[in-house]
Amino acid sequence: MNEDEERPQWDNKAQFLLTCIGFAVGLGNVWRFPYQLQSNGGGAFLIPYLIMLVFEGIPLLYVELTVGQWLRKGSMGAWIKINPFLKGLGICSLFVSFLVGMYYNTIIAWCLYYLCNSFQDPLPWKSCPVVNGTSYITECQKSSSSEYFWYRETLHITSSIEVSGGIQTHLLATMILAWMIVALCLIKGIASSGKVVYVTATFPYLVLFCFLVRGVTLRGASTGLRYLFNPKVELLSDPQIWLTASTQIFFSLSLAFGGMIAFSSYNPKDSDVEVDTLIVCVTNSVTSLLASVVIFAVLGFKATVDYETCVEGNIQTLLDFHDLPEASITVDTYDTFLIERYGSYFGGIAERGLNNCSVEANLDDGVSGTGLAFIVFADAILEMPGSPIWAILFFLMLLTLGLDSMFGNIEGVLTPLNDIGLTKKYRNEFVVVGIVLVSFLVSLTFIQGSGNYWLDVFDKYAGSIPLLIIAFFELIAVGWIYRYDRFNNELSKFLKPRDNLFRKALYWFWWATVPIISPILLLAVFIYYIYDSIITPLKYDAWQENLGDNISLSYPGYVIAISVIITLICTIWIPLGAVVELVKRFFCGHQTGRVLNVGEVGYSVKETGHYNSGYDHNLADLPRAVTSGNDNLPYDPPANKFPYIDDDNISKKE
Amino acid sequence: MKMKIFLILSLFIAGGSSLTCDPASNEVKVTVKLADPSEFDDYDQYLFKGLVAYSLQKYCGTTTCSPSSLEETDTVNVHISNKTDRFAMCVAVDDCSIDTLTKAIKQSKPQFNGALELSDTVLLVDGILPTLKPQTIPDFPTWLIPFIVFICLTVIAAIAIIAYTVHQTKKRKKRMLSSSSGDDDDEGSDHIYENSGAATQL
Repeated sequence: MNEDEERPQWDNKAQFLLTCIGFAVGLGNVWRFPYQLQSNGGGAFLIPYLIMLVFEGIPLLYVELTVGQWLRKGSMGAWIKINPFLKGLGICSLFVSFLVGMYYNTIIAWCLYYLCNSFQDPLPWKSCPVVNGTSYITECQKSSSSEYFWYRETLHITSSIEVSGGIQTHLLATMILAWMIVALCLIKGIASSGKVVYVTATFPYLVLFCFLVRGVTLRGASTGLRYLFNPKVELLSDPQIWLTASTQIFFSLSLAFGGMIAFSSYNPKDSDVEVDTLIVCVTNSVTSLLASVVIFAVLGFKATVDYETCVEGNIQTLLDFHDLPEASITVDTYDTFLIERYGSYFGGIAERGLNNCSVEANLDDGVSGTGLAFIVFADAILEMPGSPIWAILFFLMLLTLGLDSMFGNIEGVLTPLNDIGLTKKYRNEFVVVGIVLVSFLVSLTFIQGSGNYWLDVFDKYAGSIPLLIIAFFELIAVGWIYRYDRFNNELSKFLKPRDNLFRKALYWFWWATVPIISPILLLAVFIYYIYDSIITPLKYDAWQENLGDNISLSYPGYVIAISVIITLICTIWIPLGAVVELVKRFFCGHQTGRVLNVGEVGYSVKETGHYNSGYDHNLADLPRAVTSGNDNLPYDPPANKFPYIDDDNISKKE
Repeated sequence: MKMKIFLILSLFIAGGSSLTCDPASNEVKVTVKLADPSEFDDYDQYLFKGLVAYSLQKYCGTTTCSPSSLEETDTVNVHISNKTDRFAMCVAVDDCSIDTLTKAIKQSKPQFNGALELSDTVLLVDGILPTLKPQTIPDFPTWLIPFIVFICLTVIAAIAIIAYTVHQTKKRKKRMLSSSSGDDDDEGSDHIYENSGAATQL
């Protein structure tokens, strides 16, 4: 039975592309990239970003998609086939996908909670709760109504990671709903998720477009956009910017999770993987840029509104002091008034003890991550006319952005488990439900009072360094362990013929980047990341109820231990897998030589001097032993009839 | 009267600072934030005096005030002075302490706002914090309504998928029973990944 026939397939190319785009385009495109763009030199940041996209992002994605499409296996099966010493690489990807999926769904639960709260006017985070009729709750007064709603009413956050705070029932409810939705979408594997991505991958663009039109027509939008794109070209000489760009592009493309490999393993063999890579990468970056424009248009509006509120407060002070009627000073005449009465703008502020209001200062308070979405942007929506509608749209967008990224995470667990046969006894539906159930139980950690702090720990230690390590080994595996020339030979059997300039250019591009440039860049990013992690003290921001603000606390010992364990779980398998294989070889000798891969013909290199590289090869004509790709051969081929090309011969090849 | 002259003198000395009312003469500062100060004309001031008298009579009628004569306060007992362009003024009542006056006005503030067609943010009385509108706490948390809708939709989708799968299985079984040789490969087996790779490679 040819395995190729049984493996699920995408209904059409669009499903595959939308799934990959949906996986790559996630919450980071909306709440991480705009902040990075603005704080790292504005428009000038686009230069290192695009360069890193070309030399790091595109080659990495190309490797993942081709490996999956060629070997028709998820991350575990694929890397075992490339080289048995790499069996640990797939396991690492599996664990990373599993751990990240657990906390990622918490963010979806938060989005759901905010979404459910958006169906009312006025929005609940618009005003502080009132105590005693005359004053607001201290915590809310010291911070702001949006911050209060986020920290107190949604998260019910505790004052440190050690204080648990108990499981929050409202978040438990939305968490259950979130996992139910994920399970339902994946219940039939890509047959079901492939249909869902038609909506989840395209809906964010619809919302972004609506926000774009709304955003650029708001007052103060141009201020925000000018602030965002203001190029600070002098910053480009700082190597930090370049490293930030490579880090950003790496994490933006959802690489090393094994999800991309899984998705492309369901592709037909002759799918144009080079163009697919380019489409996904370009779409991802364009989406990031579009989201930045939207975010900063709205942030510029918010900064302007905050500035006007600040100035109006100052005006009240001035009117009280000078006993002038209301509206004799307006926001527009504020500056001239100060200059007239006090000689200078700052003189007036100093003499009357006014607040120093500035739009730029408001924009400088850059926020990224959950703070941007749930506090700053939610606050900005309050000022827009028709805020409930915009809130609903925004949180629905975040929901769909997160959902299709979750599909990639769970598929990164599902496909390898299925490929190694661990789950073949069970119905696929039950496997999905099982994985979701286990993830749900562990993710209960993140909906207790201290959940947000735990989420940051997981994000830092499962969602970053292990990914860099895995990606580096992926490149080394393809470029040096398997050798890029062999890899290219395999690919040329099913890639489009290199008969035009575009294809030829790509050919040389892959040659330059995959074995050489990209690993070097990735190594640089990795070293920088390690260095950055070492010099950053192990502290976190803890929200204090009495202060209405964050204070910096150190992680207690057991949390540090847990974070080390998390990083180890995600990375230890690489050396461990190699050691296990070494031990097996040592004890079992030459009979565990590598089995031929699909499409590889059983000719010894010594006989013919080169591989058969014709891509018009009809696989069905070859003897079954070499085409099944099934590592469980139906018979043991005699050693002298089909000489195995085992790893010992690599160095002897021409 | 002596107090008033004293006040005017002190204002002169203070120079261009904002209006401060003399606490010694039991004066309370009242600010009415208007764009056109002439809107709060003499008639409105008379109405204000009447409201102050009303509030004192009401307050002292229910709780005892120190000079019991305050129960009989009338508009002639209310004095408005030091009107500025803001519009701000100093209000004093004969034999009434600042504390009693403030409490009385606070009790009847809604009537003040309504009669003068102002609000808590426009009519400010020194010493009275504006009453904030309390959040209306609904009996049923509002967010639960869309949440229940979503849960129901999800459950319906789950039932639909299960029903479809069961239906497909029945159809397949029927077909396998009717055809002589059950071709396993045809509709796809229960497990999508039949005969997938060996577990031994681990």
